[in-house]
Amino acid sequence: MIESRYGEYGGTYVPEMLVPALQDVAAGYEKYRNDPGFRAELDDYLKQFVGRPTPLTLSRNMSRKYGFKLYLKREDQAFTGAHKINNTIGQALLAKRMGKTRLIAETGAGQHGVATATAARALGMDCTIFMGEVDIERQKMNVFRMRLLGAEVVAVKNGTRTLKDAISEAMRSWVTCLDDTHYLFGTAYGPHPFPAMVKDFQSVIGREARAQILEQEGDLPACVVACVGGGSNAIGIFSGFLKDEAVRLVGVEAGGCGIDSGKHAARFQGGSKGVLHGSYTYVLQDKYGQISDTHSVSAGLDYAAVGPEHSMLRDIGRAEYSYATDDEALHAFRELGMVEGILPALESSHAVAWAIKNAEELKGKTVIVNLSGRGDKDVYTVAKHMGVDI
Amino acid sequence: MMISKGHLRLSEQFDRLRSRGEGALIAYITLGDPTPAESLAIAQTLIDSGSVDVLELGVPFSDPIADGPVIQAAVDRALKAGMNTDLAFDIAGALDKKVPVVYLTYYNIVLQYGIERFTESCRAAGVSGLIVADLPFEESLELRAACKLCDVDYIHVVTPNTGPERMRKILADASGFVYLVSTMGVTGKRKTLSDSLGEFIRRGREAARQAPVAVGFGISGPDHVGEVVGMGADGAIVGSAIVDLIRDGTSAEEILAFVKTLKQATRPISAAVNKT
Repeated sequence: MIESRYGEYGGTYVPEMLVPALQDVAAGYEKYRNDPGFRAELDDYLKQFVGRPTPLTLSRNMSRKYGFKLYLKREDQAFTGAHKINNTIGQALLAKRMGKTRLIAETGAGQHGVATATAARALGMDCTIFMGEVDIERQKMNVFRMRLLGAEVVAVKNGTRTLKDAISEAMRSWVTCLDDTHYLFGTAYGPHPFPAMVKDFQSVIGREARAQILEQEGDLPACVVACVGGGSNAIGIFSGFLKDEAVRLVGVEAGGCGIDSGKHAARFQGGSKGVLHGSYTYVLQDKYGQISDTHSVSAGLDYAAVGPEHSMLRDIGRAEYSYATDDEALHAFRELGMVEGILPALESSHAVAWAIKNAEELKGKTVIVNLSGRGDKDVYTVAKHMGVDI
Repeated sequence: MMISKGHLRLSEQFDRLRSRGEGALIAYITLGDPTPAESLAIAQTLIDSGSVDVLELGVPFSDPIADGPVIQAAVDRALKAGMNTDLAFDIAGALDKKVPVVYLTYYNIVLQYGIERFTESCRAAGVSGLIVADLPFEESLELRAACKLCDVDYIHVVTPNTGPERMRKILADASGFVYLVSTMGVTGKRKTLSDSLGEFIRRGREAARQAPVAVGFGISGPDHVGEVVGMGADGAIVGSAIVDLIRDGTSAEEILAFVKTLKQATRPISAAVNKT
């Protein structure tokens, strides 16, 4: 059996109607996760369709400028432009084996939506994406990309009309179509078995990165850094190094306008233990348990709760969690572009920002930053912040 | 906060109705909708109507994943009006509870208040039962134990896709009543009820043994109430249809007239009249 808890965190806090559905998903995952045929098919898709392995790039100019050896795990080079596709291909292949013909998913910035729509098309499945009305307005290009891939995009008009509400609406919709539909959850969060399953499908990042750094550097890195929204790219790369106790693992949350402003998504700074969307973990909430509105310049980190395994890794001291503000992330976005010629996603820019901020401490060390996605989707946002009209 | 006398037991209320050959009308409103003070007045009006047998009060949670748009909007209104868990207990305590009052909420609300503090506050405020929409059986051990200690009925929810074995396991310690969800989906009015509802009610009754079963989700008017009671349910739960009236600022008289028609549909004589 796959563990449904990470210490005290995780669990299955969902309406009864979803329990049999999640049990089916868990049973399907249990059945196929070590099945050689399934794994071979997944590996083939990851290689031929996604373009794995992604490179581990030594960032020469940044290293020279900041005095530590910076390696970038290039998930921005995965097909569709982010690590999300690792999980969508995995779950879509699983869903297909379980006899499902349709995928539904939530999306914030649209990356998971695009990756789900892509997987659906590639495997000949139908696809519906739930997206908050506010996010649809902010991410028009990704919405159109999804439609070009044949996905139906449903505008979610309730609550804050962002990712949180898109997840709620996808869950509400799933119970009406359980027979033929798989809910392809996008991050290492939510009710069991999603945190475990998404981690599994993202752990390819960590396996590759560990082998690559050993080959290229002949040694393990001092530090591995990743941004943390729900936490799937972070848990994916961390998983490769969890047993290497000497490797420092750093998750970087969205500090938004600063922790004191209250406008942020740093659950480990201002949050407390609670339940949202099926999982018990650190949540931004008021004293009565009402979920707080969050803010981040990067939609992918703009969520009120963090993956349950991260809460455990923090408790046991295996990983540490910091944050970068909007301004720091925007600076890192431009810096990596100007210095190295790589525009990172604003999400990934938070991890880059942490490394820049801590350059002194990292001096002479080897650091891997997980570049979870590319920045093309963010150029409008960045232009706006620069006061440039494009 | 008023200290209420020993609260009415759900089992006694259902027994009384059974002896009269009636089903229970369970009316739902969201506490704090449109404001805390107005929802207290509406709750008391419903209790005093003589038509409502059990009053179900929603304690708002910002992200109600089991609810449809009507109740989501009610929750938004309530939270904007300053509703919170302390006020929910104040309101429940202040009500003259001539009928049993139950709470419906989500687990994070209970958790942040403190499980024992929540159930003790239920007892103190005279809340007879508790429904937690996102707490499945496997995760509910601690809360069920706390409810038992405080003599608050933990009301189990079962759904059409709850298999027979699982249903028996869940309902082994059924108390108060069992909440049968009529259909796969969320709360909200529906034109017709599911064809397989009769069979589901029969399964629920069998697994619940002596505990009463009440049907909710999609029960929009007297016809549906009559239908589910006719199919053997001990009660019908009407939520969104009442919340709709509150949203529209409908007068107390009109709301009372509506619940009266709902109550009439729980009585065997009206079922007989409807059939002719």
